[in-house]
Amino acid sequence: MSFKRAVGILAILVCGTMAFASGSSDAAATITMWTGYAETLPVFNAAAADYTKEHPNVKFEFSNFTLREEEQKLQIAMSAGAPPDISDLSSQLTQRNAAQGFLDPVPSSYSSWLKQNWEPVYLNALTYNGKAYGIPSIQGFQLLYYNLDDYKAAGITKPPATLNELMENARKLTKYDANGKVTHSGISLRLSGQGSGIAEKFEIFLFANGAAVLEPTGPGKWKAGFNNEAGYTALNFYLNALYKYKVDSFDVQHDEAAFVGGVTSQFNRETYIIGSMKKNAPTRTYGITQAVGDSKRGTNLNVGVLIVPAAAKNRALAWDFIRYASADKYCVQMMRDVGWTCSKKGVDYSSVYAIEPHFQQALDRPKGFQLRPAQASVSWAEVFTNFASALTVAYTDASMMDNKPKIMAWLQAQADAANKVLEKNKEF
Amino acid sequence: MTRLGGGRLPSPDVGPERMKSPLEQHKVRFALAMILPIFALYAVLRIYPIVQAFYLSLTDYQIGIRKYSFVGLANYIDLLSNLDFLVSLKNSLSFAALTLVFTLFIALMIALVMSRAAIRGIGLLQTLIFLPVVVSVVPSAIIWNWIYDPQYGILNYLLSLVGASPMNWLFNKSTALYAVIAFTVWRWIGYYMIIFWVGIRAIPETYLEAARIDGASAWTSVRAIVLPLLRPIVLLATVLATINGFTIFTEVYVMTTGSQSAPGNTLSVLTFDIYQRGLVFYKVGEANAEAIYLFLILIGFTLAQFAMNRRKQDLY
Repeated sequence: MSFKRAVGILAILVCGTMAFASGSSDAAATITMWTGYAETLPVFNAAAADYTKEHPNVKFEFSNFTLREEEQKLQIAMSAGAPPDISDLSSQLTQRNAAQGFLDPVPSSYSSWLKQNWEPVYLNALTYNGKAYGIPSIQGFQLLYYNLDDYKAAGITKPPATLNELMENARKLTKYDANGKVTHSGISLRLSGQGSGIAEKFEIFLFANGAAVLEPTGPGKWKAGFNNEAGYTALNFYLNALYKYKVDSFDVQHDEAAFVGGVTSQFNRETYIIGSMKKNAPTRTYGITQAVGDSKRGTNLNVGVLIVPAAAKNRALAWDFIRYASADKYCVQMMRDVGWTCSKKGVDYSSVYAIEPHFQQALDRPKGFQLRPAQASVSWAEVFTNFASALTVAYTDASMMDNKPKIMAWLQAQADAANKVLEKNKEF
Repeated sequence: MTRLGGGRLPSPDVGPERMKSPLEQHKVRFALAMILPIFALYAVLRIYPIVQAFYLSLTDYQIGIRKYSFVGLANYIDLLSNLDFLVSLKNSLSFAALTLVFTLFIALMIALVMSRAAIRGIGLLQTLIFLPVVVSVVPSAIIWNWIYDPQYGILNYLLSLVGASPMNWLFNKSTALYAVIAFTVWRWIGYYMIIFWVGIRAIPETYLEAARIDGASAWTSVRAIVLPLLRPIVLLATVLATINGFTIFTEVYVMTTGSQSAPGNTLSVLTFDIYQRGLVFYKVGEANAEAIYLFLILIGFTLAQFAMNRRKQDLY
């Protein structure tokens, strides 16, 4: 066989295979989905299995990464034009990517279904220029966890509703050694670590008086919103907790480890703690209440969104599957087996509440309680991370406590820095 | 002597190709053909990213933003007044200098003792000292996080036995950097110990024997014979330790993750700041400018170390 003839046959074979492959893709599709919440995969696997029963030609490929990794991979994959068919994404990144044309808008035929099943606060978080660019899935929000045994021992009968009550309770709950050092904190505040988490936790104390780290000033425009009375009250609360009332300390364990380990009585965290307590401290009795507040009461809301990239191969199928996986029974499974709560309204969780009543407490919000979605600003990560870094330094400065001029000057300096970042990104 | 055209003398080994025999030409072509794929791979995987990084450092490119523009040296200039960059630069310099000094000094001492003293079970001892090098950095860092834990850490427990008050080693601004340096020194001592040990073993025994016969003390032998002959190895170790010191990332990342750990800004080093700028804030242009600064710093330090070594060699 001559060389030219061999090449010719090979070319025919390659073209034939490609034609077959492209022709068959219409018949059988594989939907790819990326998630940064590996723990939710059993729910999506169950939905996929049910969906495949109804659509035998559709297969699924799920990949999971850490949340940050997934965000990075997705950004790069969308920029490169090779994204998965479905991915989860935070609401603020959804708006950012929608603005850049990386996302497929939700089919217009879903409009009334969306409005029937989600509160406006969730839909607004993923709407850009009047179009929804995703379907809300799970939600993360801060709750106040309190140890009931500690409450009983301290004679506390009800959870706090205001900052003062929170501090009063913390003072009754704190334990000290012979040298006056804290051995058991009355409240575990987020004081250290990297990233934006420190500022996000601080923001709950800003919400308590109606402020936020970033406040909108117009479409796509923001300004720092903490250089005010609410900012002073929030920062002074931390400093009083550390230096005046000594209800928390740098020298004790913090956060989930402290609450699970029984060395703190109160702390703010998301609903996943319910699962963690069940697994790691099943005998400990505890209660859940909403974040405290003075003039206002509210919490930050992270809306998990299922999106379909504009460059996805199977967009119509992807939207159909997302709608399918949003059915009530998967929300119930998500809460029961994973510990995340869906953002969909009207789901009957009574079967889960019977097993784990803490979820009912988590979703029982007082009237007027505000859910504040993360601001859809390009500068969000930088502003929050920088503010978090600055807060870790401020928390170590006892001389700022009750010193209003000093605190206000510090807040103003941080606000100027945040506004500079916004200005650089043309968002001020 | 006969002069050829152009008045230049032909070099015996690097003459024009036409002067080479067909066999030699064939060999050269074969060698080039063998090298070319590797060079191409190197160009794609190493040279192109560096060139691309330099190009991006001159733009305001952000991941997820379609439009970007050329901004010249603006990113480089902005970084010089950026507090995060300056803190990271200072931390990186301190970190690299202190890890280099402590790691190499301790490793050299151990290598000297091990190569000279008759120690039973030396192989086991070397393995134990080398062990941290082969243990993955993430679990090691998590273990050290627990060692430093203010309430349950073994370090505070041991200190309490002698009456010292417990400390939050990772949180405290004055101890956080040193806590991570101690961990890094512990991790790398074994690696440099082996390098030094091999270097010392390569020194001919006759030199040391002659010194002994002449009545030289052990310290004199080390100072006058071992250390000068070990200079190339010390240079190698210094260059490697400098690069390691400046490119540390995982240790800082793990030890600042979570509420029990150090505050991010206290421990931020250049690699961490580059990661944060590029992959958290998505500011790829700025992150690349910072990476180019790091590249220049490393090149500068490496060349300086070679130059210092050459000057010392000239003195002998």
